[in-house]
Amino acid sequence: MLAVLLTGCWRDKDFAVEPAQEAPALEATRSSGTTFRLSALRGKVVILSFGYTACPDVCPTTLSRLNNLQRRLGMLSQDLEVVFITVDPERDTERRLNDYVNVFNRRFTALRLEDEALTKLLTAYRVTATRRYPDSERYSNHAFTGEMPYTVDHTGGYFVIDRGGTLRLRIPYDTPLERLQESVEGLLQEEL
Amino acid sequence: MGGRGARTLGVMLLVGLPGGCRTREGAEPLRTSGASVRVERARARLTPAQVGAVYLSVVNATESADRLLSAESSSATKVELHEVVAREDVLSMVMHPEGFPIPAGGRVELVPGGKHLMLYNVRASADGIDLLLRFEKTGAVRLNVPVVAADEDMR
Repeated sequence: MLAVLLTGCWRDKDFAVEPAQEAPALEATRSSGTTFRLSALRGKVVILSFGYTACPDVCPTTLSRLNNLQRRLGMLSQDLEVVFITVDPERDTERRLNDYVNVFNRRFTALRLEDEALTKLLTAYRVTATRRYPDSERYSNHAFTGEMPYTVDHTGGYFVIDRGGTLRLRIPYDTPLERLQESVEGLLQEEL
Repeated sequence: MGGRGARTLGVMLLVGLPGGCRTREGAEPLRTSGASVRVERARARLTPAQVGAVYLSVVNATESADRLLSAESSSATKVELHEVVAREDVLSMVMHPEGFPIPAGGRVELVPGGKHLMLYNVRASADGIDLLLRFEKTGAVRLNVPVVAADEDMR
């Protein structure tokens, strides 16, 4: 077990956030009136990922991987929290966001921040999100229900926070599930 | 590409139907003389946001290059050819209105995180979705694409 841990740590140099820093604050008030606070999850390992519900490929792939990861971790996953933050608050209502995330896993948390709160958070985590509108010419013949179908170019991957609240790893979105599991398991096996 | 569960494999196994039945699950070999352009392992993932992606492989066993030009589906208002491109860690969707080339004797893979077909305003159905692919040389190919559960890893 120790050997596994050590190799895990060695190989995680690729993903390490240097210098290790306390995870930037994340708070979001929900319509129910409750407030989500990242700081309240001390003692657990937290994975943050950013995306949006109208995302056809990257976000579903990311969330289904996280669901698989949780399945593979078995009992260990009790100490793992997954948080998905929308970079598209304009289209992603809280309800739409929750419905979306629940399809992948009922234990995942979805958060919606707006305006300055979102900008501040994205800046702190060095995440970019830019709208990309399709060529309107090409859509002139299509009656879209409701919305102009823009996509959002955004920073992918997994931001992993350890039990002590330190942002430890940034894992690229296309990392194989086995590697992701190894890294997250390593943090789950650390003592607080 | 490991990590494929038995369930996914089950979905991807092509069901060879007895004669008389034209559409196979997710694959439609073209009835050309001998060598052909084949579509394999087609599967779709839809989300509650009514967008979706179709992944598949196109195998070109012929001696001339072909190109997937466009796709349409009666289950979606629009289907586009997209590719996820990563610049450092920022992921963007690039459209390919010019299509996906399929080299002679080669193949093109549409996979999660890579090239894929994006479906807009999808109406999901338990029977899968129908898809019409238009190839430059091969012409039109119609297939039925099984829908994979959203929480399944599709690699």
